[in-house]
Amino acid sequence: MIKIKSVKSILLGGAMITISGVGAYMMKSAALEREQKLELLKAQIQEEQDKITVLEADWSYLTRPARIQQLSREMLSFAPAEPSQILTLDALGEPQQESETENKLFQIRTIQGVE
Amino acid sequence: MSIWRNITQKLTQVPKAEAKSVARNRLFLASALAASCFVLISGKVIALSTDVKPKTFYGKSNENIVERGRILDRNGRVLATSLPAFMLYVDPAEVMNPYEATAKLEDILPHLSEEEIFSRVTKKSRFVELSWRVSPQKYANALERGVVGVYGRKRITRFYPQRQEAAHVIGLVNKDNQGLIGIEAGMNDALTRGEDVHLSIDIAVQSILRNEIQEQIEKFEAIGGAGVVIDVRTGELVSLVSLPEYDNNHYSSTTEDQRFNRATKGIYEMGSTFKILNTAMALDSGKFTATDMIDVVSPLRVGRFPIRDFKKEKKPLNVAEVMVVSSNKGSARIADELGADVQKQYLKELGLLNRLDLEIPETAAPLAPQTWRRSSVMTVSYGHGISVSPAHLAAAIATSLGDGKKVVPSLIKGGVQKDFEEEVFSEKTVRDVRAIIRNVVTHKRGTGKFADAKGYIVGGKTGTSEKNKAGGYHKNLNIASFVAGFPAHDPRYVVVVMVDEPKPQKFSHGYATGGWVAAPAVGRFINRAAFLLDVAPANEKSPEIRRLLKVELPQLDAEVRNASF
Repeated sequence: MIKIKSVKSILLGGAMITISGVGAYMMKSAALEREQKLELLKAQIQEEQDKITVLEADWSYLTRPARIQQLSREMLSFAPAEPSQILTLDALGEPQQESETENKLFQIRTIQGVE
Repeated sequence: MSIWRNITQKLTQVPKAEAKSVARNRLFLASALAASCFVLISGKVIALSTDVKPKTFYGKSNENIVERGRILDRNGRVLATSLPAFMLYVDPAEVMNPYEATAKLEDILPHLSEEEIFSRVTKKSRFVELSWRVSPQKYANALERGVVGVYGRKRITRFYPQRQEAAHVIGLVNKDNQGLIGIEAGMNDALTRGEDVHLSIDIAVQSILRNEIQEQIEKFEAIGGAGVVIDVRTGELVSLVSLPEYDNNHYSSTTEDQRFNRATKGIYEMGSTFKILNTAMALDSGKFTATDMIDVVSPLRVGRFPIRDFKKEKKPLNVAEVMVVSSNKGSARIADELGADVQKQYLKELGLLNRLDLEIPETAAPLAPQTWRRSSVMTVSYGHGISVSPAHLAAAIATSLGDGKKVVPSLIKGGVQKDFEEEVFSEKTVRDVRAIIRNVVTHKRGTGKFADAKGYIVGGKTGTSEKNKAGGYHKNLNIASFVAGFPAHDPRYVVVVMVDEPKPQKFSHGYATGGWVAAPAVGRFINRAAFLLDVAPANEKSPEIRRLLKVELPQLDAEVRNASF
């Protein structure tokens, strides 16, 4: 009986060694895979960043004032704003009181209703 | 060791009765082991064959390489950036048909002639550079053509999307991405660390100033020009123009004249624009008030040379009037009274005797008189015998129109952080000077009428000087300049425009003076750019502004009244 017991314990021990071995292997390969994934993601981020930089440079190139001016002259009938066309906020005067506006709206509605 | 022996004994010495079951157990164990091995192997095989990873363009990332920082304008527009590109090279030993290779490469390498490409693909070498920089797209094109032996290596290159705009400020790098000139050189350390540099330049304002100066250069057949816009409150240089210009992306095909920064490295005798400073000195010294009378009638000599005025005055003028009509005689007399020490001290405080301290290496030291004789004092008062850069002048004028505290110019957004404020002129002085320069533009006898921009209350001063070349002054080679502050009652910006060697034109009645050449550029610039510079038009007739800009000009007013009768 003792012998069978020891065989069992040996088997158990062997199984545990195998399991831990397999476990270690799987962990290692998982880590490796993660590492590769990380490497890939980093490269992708780099690629995206490069694309952003290129697009930003493109944007800056296409919106450079000299080009916009040229395009605007050809396609739009815009002209520099005259000083008389520019007002400061103070020049607009006080906005009407809310209740007053509502009153007026109410009056308009009632007049329309009568008609 | 005894444990191991024990185990082996137990495994080998099995009693006969149990032998069968033990054998079965062992067989089962062995086959289970073998089976699990196969499961593992086949699992891995499946994993490897199904796991198709997307390949990236660049392969491994190099995170250790810090990419050079960008240069941005004050509103974040990109002025310089690092882009991926490819160095294209060929291994001639691998090229099978050099004629075919040449034909395929011809339109990818437009800067090389057909013969040149052929000679490169047939060279007796294993590595011949075709282009040190092609875009990723061109590289892809080259690969698509399938030319055997042509390879590319990724490299980061500098790109300047605004092309010639502000090229002198931005500067450029060498092939190893190290700054050579401009901000690229001046701020090389920060850029190398990967930091972005935010400039004080507004590229839209820069473009407007450039256009307006360019137009005057063409109209007057000048050889070049410069322009500076400085924020009076912070010292930030909002634009810095030097013409002729060049494209940083094609640096190798530029001339020295194009590369020369006239705004910061060029030094010029600025002529009568210096009278603003002379007047400020006179008023600030306490020796003069704006209404003190100056003799501009009797002749004045410096050594053998008489000092002459553009128009001979018949009656004495006061200090303010001397500036409005731009009298050399009057200015010289005022400076003579102040003396060399006072003038030198003020010029020093204004920074006009020292090298311009700026964030780019292309700066110049002024050329001032070696010994400050009486004659030097007189000529310096109207901007002769002293040469400074337009940027120098802009900062000095900003000091005399702002709040009197020294304005330190800077190309970096936010300006230079000052430990203490150095007061050069009193507030009273500054207020008087503002009022006088407005009258230079508005008064019938003023010289700067073309600089006015309706609604923006421009004040300024013209300047025309003969160029000192090869030891003598040339009557026909002028420097025409205009300096403006706007709005004059509370200046936010100072604009300096300088045009190099304008030729007299028919439409200008044979004049090539600051008033004809530079002033219109300033006027048009302010009209177009004030909006971008956040300066709102003001009503000059309002009592508040009228009070601020009031100056006594009795003699000039009398002349105008008499002339109208």
